[in-house]
Amino acid sequence: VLVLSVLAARWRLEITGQPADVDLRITLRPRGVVAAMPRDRRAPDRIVPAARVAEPGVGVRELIAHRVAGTDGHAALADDVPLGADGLGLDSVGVVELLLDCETAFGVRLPPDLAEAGRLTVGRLVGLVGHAIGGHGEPRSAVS
Amino acid sequence: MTASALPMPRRSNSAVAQWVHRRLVDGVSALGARAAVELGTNAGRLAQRVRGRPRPEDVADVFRGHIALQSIDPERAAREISGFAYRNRALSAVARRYGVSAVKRLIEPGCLAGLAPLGAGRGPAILVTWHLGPGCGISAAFDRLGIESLAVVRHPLAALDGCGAYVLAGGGEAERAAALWRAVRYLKDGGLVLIAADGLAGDRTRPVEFLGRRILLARGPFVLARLSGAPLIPIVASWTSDRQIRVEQGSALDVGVPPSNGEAFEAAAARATASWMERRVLQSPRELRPHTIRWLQTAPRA
Repeated sequence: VLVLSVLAARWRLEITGQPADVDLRITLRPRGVVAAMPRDRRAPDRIVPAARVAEPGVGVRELIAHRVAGTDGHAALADDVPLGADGLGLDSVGVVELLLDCETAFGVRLPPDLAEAGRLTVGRLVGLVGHAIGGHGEPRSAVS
Repeated sequence: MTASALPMPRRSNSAVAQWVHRRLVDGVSALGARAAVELGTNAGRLAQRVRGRPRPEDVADVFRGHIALQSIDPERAAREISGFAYRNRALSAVARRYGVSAVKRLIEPGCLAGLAPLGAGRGPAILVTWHLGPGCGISAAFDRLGIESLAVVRHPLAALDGCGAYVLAGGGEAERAAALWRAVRYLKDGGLVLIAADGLAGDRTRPVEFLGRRILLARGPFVLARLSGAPLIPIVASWTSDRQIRVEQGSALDVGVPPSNGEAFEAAAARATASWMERRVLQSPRELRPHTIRWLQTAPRA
């Protein structure tokens, strides 16, 4: 039990794909390594409870941590970390899935030209969600 | 700047040939849609005889992949493929010069009734198409019916003047994310998104069978269907025997797997699309474009 506990603390078992899938992959990955793959399949509104909607900075980071395995929640995600390949490693589909997660979890509608106005970073996404909720965060034009 | 205003290059034979070609296209497009179609068809057939491309042996190699195509004379098919390719190019030049409305008169009136329900606010749908036949005919038919759509294209040249809104998905990962997000939002707001399944930009699907080959399609249409829940409706434009453009849409594809199944849904949707398009190609195989012939030749046999 002790050995298993130590292993579980240092390594993480990741399963990707569907059970009936020929490409089902089981990976043993050291904890702390950032990799763009879904951690679990919980609905976004279950990840960000209603009480957290008032704090978009926390809620958005929880959603990112859910989607990007290996990120340690709030502390590890600085505002200037890009969501794409030069940051968290999300591909185009991953970025759009994260945006949809934000819409579902916070019950907001993000603008269609969101990703065109510049590089999408953690801080920019938090600002946009906050602005969409109303009152929190900065308007889109004020965010780099 | 039009091609005729460009100075003639002195660098290489291919640069000179390209310059001559641009001048010809520029000249042909000034004639108007119907004349350009006639001239383009004959120029294409002549070009195949002179240059020998597409090569009949390449056409025969691709047509061997399906039993329904094996009886077609490859020499004649190569000439007709070249004729259709030049005809499409001439038509695109006209649409680029005068706007897509210049092509409207070539749309077969009978096909418009079938497309009309798309404009009746029937809800979101992904109109999945193929590089087959006169692609600008779809935009022209939509223009004629007043149907609004968002086209996802790889290059600005593919988006013709008057064809409605479009997004570019041909750049890097960030540009693709921007295009994908805009298309998802458009669908969530109840719009129609037009996108090609055999595009060359972005991620690929798992291999699907098409004309006896295992090909990889663009993942975009199927990701859009998964993320938005909108149905995939196949649509293609083709030429009638009297040189009119017929735009045909199928019914919503039955994928058979729920979108929540992620990659399994995308794979099933890609198979369903390839299967519909294969049936459509078998009706008029000579409208396959020369680059599609080359693409299919590089794909492994199923």
